[in-house]
Amino acid sequence: MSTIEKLREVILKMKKKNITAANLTPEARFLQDLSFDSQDQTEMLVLAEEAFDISVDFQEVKNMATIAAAVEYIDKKAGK
Amino acid sequence: MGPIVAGDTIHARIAGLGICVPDTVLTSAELAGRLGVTEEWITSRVNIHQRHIASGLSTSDLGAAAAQRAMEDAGISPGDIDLIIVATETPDRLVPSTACTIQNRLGLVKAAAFDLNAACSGFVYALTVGSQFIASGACKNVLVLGAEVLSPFADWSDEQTCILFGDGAGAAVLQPTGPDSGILAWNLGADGSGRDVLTILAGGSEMPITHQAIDEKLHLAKMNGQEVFIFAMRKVPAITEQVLAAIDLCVEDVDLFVPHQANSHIIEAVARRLGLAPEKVMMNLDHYGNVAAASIPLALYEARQTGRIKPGDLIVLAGFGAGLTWGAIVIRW
Repeated sequence: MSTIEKLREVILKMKKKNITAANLTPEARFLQDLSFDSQDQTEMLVLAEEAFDISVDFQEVKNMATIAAAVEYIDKKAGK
Repeated sequence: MGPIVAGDTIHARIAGLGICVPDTVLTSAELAGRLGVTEEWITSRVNIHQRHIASGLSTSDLGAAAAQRAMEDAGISPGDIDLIIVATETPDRLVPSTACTIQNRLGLVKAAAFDLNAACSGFVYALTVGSQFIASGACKNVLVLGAEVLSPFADWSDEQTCILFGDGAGAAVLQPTGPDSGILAWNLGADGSGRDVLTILAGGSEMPITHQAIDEKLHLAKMNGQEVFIFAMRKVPAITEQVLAAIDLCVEDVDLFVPHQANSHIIEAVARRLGLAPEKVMMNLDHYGNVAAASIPLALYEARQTGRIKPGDLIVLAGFGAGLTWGAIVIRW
């Protein structure tokens, strides 16, 4: 399973309104397109820690804006 | 410490519950007006619509009323109490303990008394400590309180924190029962490296109160909300699963999960991570706010009063907070 597919599963587990796998595109912006607030983003990243067996440095992800940026960060942390 | 399973002879059970919240209510609409934000700004962040404010009442005022009601609920007299433990981070005074003040006010003539500070995990810590005195046979009736007056320690100009806090108290009477019910297991822990995540800097020996400290608002609560959220998400599901596994149970066996009422987003995220359906999660912070050590007994009481707890149910109480501290306790009701 690719990183983005797995990340989609993580985000869908959060059961946020109006979010489906279809709108979790690489270009999707957390704030504007997915209506994520800072707590949503934190929740996603903590769940990603478990799903990808990584440790997130929350200082490094302050300005993470899109799904593609999240995928890039996760791949970097996972050593891919 | 890791999960600990209660012994196989005497367990401690909750034989009575009581609460007290002050009459004064501060709605989020009113608070929003003071802060220059909208009510929706507050409720969308923390889902708190109102909180009770002590307005001059002390922690012992609220605690004594809650304890009196818990004793009446258990059908016992003040003279029956062997020990009173008050979990609080907002004691009446640094010295003596708030437990001593309540002990005197209620006439708990034979009771030993002390306070315990494990912040928002305090009630779970205190229940665990109290249960040891029951299980050992040393005590027949132990009063355990979570009691807080947080409002004087909130920075009412800081909209990130003051919207959270409320005042109140809850009390439980512990009594002996057989090994199939009552408190079955617990899982306490701490990580003092996180002491700055949620703290009141001034007022203790490290930083005595000075005019400068007050001018800089160092006597008021400071919190890194994101750190608390990360900590809760990482820790609470793990300790809950561990303590259940220690007695060969799992999350599916839980009838009601009663977490510290920090904010609704944390509770919902923790519950999702555990795979708990919303109807198995107790939430009442919408009308009380975050009342630190008092939040779990306030929620437990309301759960019982509204029929969400029945005899034989498996209940998990889970606290987390400043310290950092955490604790989960499993009760067969």
